[in-house]
Amino acid sequence: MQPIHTSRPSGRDRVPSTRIVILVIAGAIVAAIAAASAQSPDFSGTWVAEAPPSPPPPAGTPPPPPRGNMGSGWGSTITITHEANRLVIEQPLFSRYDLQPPLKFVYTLDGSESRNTVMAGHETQTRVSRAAWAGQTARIVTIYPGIDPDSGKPFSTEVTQQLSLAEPGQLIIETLRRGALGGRDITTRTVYVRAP
Amino acid sequence: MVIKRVVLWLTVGSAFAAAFVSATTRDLGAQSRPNIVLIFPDNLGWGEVGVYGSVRGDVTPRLDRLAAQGIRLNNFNVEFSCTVSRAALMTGRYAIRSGATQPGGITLWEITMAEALKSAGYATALYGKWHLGGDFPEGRREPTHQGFDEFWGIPRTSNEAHTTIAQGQKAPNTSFIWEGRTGQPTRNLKPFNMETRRTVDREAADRGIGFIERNAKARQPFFLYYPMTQLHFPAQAHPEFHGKTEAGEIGDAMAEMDTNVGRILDALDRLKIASNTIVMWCTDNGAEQRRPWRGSSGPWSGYYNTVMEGGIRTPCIIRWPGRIPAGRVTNEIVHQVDVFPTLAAAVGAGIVPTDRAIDGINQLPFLEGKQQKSNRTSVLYYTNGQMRAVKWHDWKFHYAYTPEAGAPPVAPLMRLFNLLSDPKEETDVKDANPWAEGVMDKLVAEFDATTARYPHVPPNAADPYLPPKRP
Repeated sequence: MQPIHTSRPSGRDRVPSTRIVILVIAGAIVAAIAAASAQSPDFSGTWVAEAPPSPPPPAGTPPPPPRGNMGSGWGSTITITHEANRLVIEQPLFSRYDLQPPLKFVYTLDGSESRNTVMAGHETQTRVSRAAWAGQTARIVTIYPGIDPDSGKPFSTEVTQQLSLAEPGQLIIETLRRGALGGRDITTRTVYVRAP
Repeated sequence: MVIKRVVLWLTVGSAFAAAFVSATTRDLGAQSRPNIVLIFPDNLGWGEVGVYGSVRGDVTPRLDRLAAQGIRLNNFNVEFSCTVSRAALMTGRYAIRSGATQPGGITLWEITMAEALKSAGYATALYGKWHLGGDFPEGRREPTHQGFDEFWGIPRTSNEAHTTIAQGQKAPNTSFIWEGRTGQPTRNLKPFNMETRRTVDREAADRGIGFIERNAKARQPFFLYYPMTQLHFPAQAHPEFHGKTEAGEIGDAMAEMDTNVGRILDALDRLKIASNTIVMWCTDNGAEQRRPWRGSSGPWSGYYNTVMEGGIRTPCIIRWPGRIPAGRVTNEIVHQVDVFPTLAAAVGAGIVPTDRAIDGINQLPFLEGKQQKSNRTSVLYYTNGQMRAVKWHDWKFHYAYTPEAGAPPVAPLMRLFNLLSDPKEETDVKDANPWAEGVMDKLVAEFDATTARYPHVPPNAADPYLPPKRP
């Protein structure tokens, strides 16, 4: 009966094996970093909304009446500072002559609560948000307060804004406004391009 | 003996007195319904009237006194332009329903307030500007075809005076002042030109006073509709007012307008029928924009032919002694389509049509002070058949923000304003109010749903018009 050979790596043989382990670990780290960076696009920059496209009317019919939309919820020009786990969005609401700073919204992207208090034109308003990543999309859910003019009682509206990058150099914000006061849900898709 | 004579005379005197009182009571009873005087100046903006903060000095003392005697509406809403506004006023329907256009007017199928009041026994007359018969109202869409017993004035609009070319015509000397009576062909009385433009409102007032006198004497309830031509361009006043105000031609025209209002009111006083007469003074749309007679929109932005507040929010004063409390001022929403059902309620007659969509709401309980809130919380604004804006409580929502007449919409098209904090509609607050589009769309959808049962009359529809049969 032939003896069964068992081989034990010699000390010389162990060196490449260690290198492989190190390489594997390093590769994993690089891959993790790459993956992390792929999951967290950088929204930083100043962005300008493009005019929403008007679908051509069917042949032989007059053009539909002009109608805008509600936009992203942050206006047509925004500046985003994207830090590690935080989005800072600035929206200029007033003119330069008004000498008012832009509205500033800060969102922590870990699912915790963010509160933003802004003077949004009619009144000072506190909006409560939770923001988190969903793949490569930043998803912000915000509760807006309001007063029902029919009853005089407070009510709230939930708004979900989803930010993602698209090629080439486009920021897409899809905004879902839940219906309130008997109104229906409203969804808009706003395409921003980098400000020149 | 002396005592017997005294008793006899007292008895006879009492009998005569009783007979007199009885007869008087019978006469008053014969006119249990109130008279109506509806004065409707043209392109007269908020900022022209003293009690509304006139920019031209003290040129409206009579209107100011009228306001003190009645209610002043600070949120009276109208359509954006001449013809559509007159259509809404006369029919109680948004003009998009009646298909009203300047070149087409309205069909004879529409039931005007004059027709309705006539059916309730009212004498009716229009002295002033018609502008609901389209380019060619001759023999087909005259005021006398739409419920007015009498008509004197211009069939179309005031700027024909500039050229003497009637709207829809090409040749000069085709614009005239007309006179008509029910059952008789209307006739051209005299040319409408820059000379008669100055006198047309005065003459209309004089004829209106004559109409009031005749009907007061006959104890006949009447509806006098006095759609003045001032301050539509060219706003050139009666010669008596030339240079009177030091506020230019438009100031002089305002002073003339106020005086003509005063002459009507004086006639009511002189005839002792003021207490049984509803006087309503309101304007067709916002301020005249065309220079050199540009008017004042007061605190609002924009002019007529836009749905900015300066185009669709106008002064309105209503007096009805003993019924509408004096000196009241309100910011509650009222619309000109409410006038028809409100006056119908005031005269106690079920004369509002029920076979078609009526947008007007009876506001009489609110005007009388029986309730604090008006019966209206929203207004829809269309221009040229297109939805443009919605007012809901103190919010104003634009679907296509167009602050300048004749200019394209300005981006961002969709805007929301709070009219209390931002009366000039300058700071868009839709981002802070994400509920807005859904709520406003719901109001529009509710209106649209009524058109399935009551389709709009197509613009420029011909007579005889009949609505499509319902399945």
